[in-house]
Amino acid sequence: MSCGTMVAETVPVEIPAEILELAERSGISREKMSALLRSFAVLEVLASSSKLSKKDADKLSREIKIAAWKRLSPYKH
Amino acid sequence: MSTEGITRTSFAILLHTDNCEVTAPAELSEELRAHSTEISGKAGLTQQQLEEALDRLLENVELVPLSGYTSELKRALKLVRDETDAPFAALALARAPSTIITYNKKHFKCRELLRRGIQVLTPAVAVSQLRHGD
Repeated sequence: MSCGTMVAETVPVEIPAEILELAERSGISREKMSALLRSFAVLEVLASSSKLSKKDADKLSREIKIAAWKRLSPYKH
Repeated sequence: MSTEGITRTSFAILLHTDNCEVTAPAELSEELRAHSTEISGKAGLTQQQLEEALDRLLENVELVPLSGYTSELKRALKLVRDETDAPFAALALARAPSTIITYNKKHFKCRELLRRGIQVLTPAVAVSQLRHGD
């Protein structure tokens, strides 16, 4: 199975029925719950593994915003 | 970046995309991907891992091209303290009433934006409002 460009595996996750019922009452379907858990796991693991410091992240963010603004600024008038 | 609850914030926003539209300037997303080699190198992640994270973060985000907010760009420049933030303010103006979620509230002229129907909130406050249906 593939997940984007990465090979994926399926992990069985048990969720209390009471929580699923609560989610469904809040308008969160089982399909959405499944997609959210997948996204949460991916983001949490990658964020925890990242060595990017806040200083580096702020610097990169600034570089990216400047690069985008160079493309957009001709349209500011 | 592993600080400031970025996963919790992203998760909470993804959870509520049925109730609200999440948008971002498409050009910013393109530049983010153009810088992916540099970001992954500094983060110590593979490019595939970074792409996976970006895909997850952006899967429910509507990426709006310049044509969707170009008419507001000039007005937006007067509402930000750093011109590189103008695309975010312009998109917010184009979609007003709307909310700008940022860790850098000081980059935006919040009172003037509020008069135009735009709230500027930190992620923590935005998530709290989403949870309480404000």
